[in-house]
Amino acid sequence: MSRPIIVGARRAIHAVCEGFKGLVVSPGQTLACIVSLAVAGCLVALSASFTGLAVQMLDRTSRNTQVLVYLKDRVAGRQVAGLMEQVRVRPDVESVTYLSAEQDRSLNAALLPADVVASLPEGAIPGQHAVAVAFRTEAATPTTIHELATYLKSLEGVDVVAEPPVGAARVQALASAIEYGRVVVSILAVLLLAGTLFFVVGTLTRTMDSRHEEMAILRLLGATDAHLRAPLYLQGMSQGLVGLVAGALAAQTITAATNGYLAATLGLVQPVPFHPTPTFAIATVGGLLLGAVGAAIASARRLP
Amino acid sequence: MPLVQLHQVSKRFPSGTQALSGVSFSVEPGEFVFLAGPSGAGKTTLLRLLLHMEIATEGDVLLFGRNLAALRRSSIPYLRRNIGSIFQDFRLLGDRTVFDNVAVGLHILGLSRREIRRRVNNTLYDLSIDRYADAYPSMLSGGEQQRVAIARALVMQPALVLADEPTGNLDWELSNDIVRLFDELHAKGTTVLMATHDRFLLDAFPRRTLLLNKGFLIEDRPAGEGPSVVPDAPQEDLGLPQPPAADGDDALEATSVPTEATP
Repeated sequence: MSRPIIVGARRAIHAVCEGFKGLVVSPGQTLACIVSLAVAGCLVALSASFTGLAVQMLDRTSRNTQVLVYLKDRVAGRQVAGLMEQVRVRPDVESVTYLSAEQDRSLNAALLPADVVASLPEGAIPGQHAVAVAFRTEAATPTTIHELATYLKSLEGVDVVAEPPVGAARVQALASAIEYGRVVVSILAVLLLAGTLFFVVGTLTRTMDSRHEEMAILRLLGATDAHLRAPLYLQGMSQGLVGLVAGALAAQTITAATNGYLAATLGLVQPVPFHPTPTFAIATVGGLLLGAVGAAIASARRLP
Repeated sequence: MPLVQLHQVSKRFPSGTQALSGVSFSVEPGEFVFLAGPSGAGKTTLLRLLLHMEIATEGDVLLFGRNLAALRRSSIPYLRRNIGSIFQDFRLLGDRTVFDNVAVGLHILGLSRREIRRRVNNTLYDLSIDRYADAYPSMLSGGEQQRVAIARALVMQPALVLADEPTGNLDWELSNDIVRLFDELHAKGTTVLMATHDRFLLDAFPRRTLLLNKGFLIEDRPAGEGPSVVPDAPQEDLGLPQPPAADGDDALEATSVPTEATP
């Protein structure tokens, strides 16, 4: 190995040692900093998970959004097939399914409690042959649903066009709420990270204050900026890394526990999503970045 | 080529204080030079200029033949590695042992642990403080602490030693010991520029002396010449302690220097 590489490696090792020494200059503050980073990281990860769950549920609801087109009794099979084909070619339509009068009756019966159904006389539950039109997820907006309903009503042989099981306005409201939630969560995440950045800067500033004399001496002895800054960057980045990765781990544990609890008590089939690989990758990069930014701010303020 | 060269150097602080006015001199490699003068004469400012901790308002400061004003910021650390700085207040790290205090600068050079240990132990031995290697500065006397500070400077093997009142906090005997150390260093070929306001030391060690007063260089006395006084100003005005009457006053007044600085 060439001499510059050896010298550089020795300097790097020294910087790492000094950086870790910096962590214990004020152990209480370092711990508080790491805990605050972990809490912030955990909250951000959980927010992302629960927002993801909300999006998945909305998506599911959208998929279930369908218009039931009740047909007149005397419509011929060929006319029904033509009508279905007319609807199927529309870009906002996912699928078109024919329901016989019996199938419709069964669906209606399923909406009622079993004992009520049993007590009713035969034929009391209505049934009418119909066509179920399901929307593409991205097209399930009130406007498209309304447009399609209007269009369907204009077709020959159509008796009634029923509103979707979940009202379009409600879907739209849910989508808006989720979008609003996303914005709020993003703002909170930024505020939390800014707060933790404040913690990182505070801890590093304290380290620098405690080592001010040493740094001034090192300057006189010929230390470069890089030599003085390296331990600070290492300290900040290690704090950021440990804090955010710990936060991601906590979020993973909480998500798993929540899923287990919900599955056991409510029989929830839709788990809260948690994607370990991207989450830990973002925590690692974010932690290093946060620490580096904190070190840059602290050294710009205090480096002798 | 002179190691240190100042040409018409002036320094005015933003507060308006004129610390140095038209100072010119040069120091050749291997010289031992005292920078004498009372408090506020500009000694520390001059040393700070040489360390590039301050920038001259006017004139040129050349160190190792390089004009400091033209030096890039990134080059300053490399220049400082050739300078050993020693201060009146020692500036030791209280939470580090003597060994670690002396070794602190060697990590900058990227030396191996073995080389650092070898250099530090040798330097501590040379300065007779090797038995304190594991002690903390607070456990040492003032003279011993100053030796540690000197060891920290010397372990870097500097070409030039700048000492700012290194005996200021020491009694007469310890001051003598410290200057003797610098003398030994000088004998080995290191250039020494030592600021002091201690008239006794100037008497005891007749080296080349640059006498500053109120920012002016009022005398550049060659080595071996007797001490001098400013005729119209009493010694107290210069901030210099009165030497003992038995071997002092007559000799001091034997040599006069101009009271007005040459611009």
